[in-house]
Amino acid sequence: MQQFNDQELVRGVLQGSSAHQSALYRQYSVPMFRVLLRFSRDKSEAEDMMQDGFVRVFRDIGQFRGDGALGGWIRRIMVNTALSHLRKQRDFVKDVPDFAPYEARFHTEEDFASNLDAQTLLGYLQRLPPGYRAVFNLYAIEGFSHEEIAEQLGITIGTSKSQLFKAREFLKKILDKSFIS
Amino acid sequence: MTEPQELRSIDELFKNTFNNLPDTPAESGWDTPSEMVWQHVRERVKPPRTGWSLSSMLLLAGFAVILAVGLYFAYSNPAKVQEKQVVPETSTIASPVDPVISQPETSATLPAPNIVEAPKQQQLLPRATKVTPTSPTLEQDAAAPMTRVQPRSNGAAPLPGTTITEMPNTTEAIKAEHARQLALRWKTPLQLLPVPRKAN
Repeated sequence: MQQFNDQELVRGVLQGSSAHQSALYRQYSVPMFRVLLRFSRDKSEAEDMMQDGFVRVFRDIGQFRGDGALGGWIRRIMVNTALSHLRKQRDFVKDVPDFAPYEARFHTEEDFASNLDAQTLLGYLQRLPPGYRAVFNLYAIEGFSHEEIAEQLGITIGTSKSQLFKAREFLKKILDKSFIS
Repeated sequence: MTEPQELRSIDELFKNTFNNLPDTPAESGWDTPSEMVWQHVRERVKPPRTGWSLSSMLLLAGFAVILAVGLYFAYSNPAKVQEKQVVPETSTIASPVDPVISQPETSATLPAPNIVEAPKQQQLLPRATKVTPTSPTLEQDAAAPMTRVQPRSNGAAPLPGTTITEMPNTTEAIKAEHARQLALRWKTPLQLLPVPRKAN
């Protein structure tokens, strides 16, 4: 597969070259899919997000100014696409007072026996309620502030802090059990 | 706000794990999307627009519409149309010779309105719009104000208030008056001049 730098990719996509479109997708599909997997509950939902995300990338690539890395620009589009998908779910940031059903999902032999590699941690994240998962992803991994999260998700800053606290508590509980086992 | 170290370490654990993944996809394929994703993306991505963009085409279309509307109103101005067209003049609706249909006796208590018959197009004689000085009725026509009814395109009776009064041609009237007076003087026989008496 032919390799292009960012400028060549952008120029080629703008000129309608299908070879450049394909090259851009091949170059960024895996890292972007990893991002989307963290925001989704499973691989199927992540693929839906990715499809919409890349359509937006090809549609809006004319807005890429070139002052930053193309990968960072695409990643922002992917995160925004994931948040758009989450916002479509009704009450996705609702509080989960009784976490027992969610906690029960972690109590499998597979979880306790596995090492803490990326795939295992991803499995933990994907079993969180969607609101907890989104806030934890945005704050802990993407580096958003609570003000930015509140604005992005249309919630209050207090809700953002509350969702982050509970997400951490549940993850800590699961990780403790993993380490103990 | 200080956060407990263990909670921050959870953040670090996830952040470091996901941000330091190798560039190559995992052999198990957990981080590789299916090929169907690219197929769907390619179907949904439209071919690039060449030439005119949508915004420029919309701008051009808007300009064309405004231009067309402006030209329409400019050329459909009734005042200008009347100046350019030669409209055959017709007699007024209510002329003394028009028949007046009387109402039946049942409605005798009410004032009977005069129902005016619609003028027939065949009976209306077109009047010459240009006045020639040799016409015998020139003096009266030129001096008197002319009234005419604006005909309708479908041949129906003209609407009330469509009678147009045109101002008399005063220049032609003055010329005609001069000609009349000149002719009158020629008809009057000349009188003999008085013979001057001889002075004593």
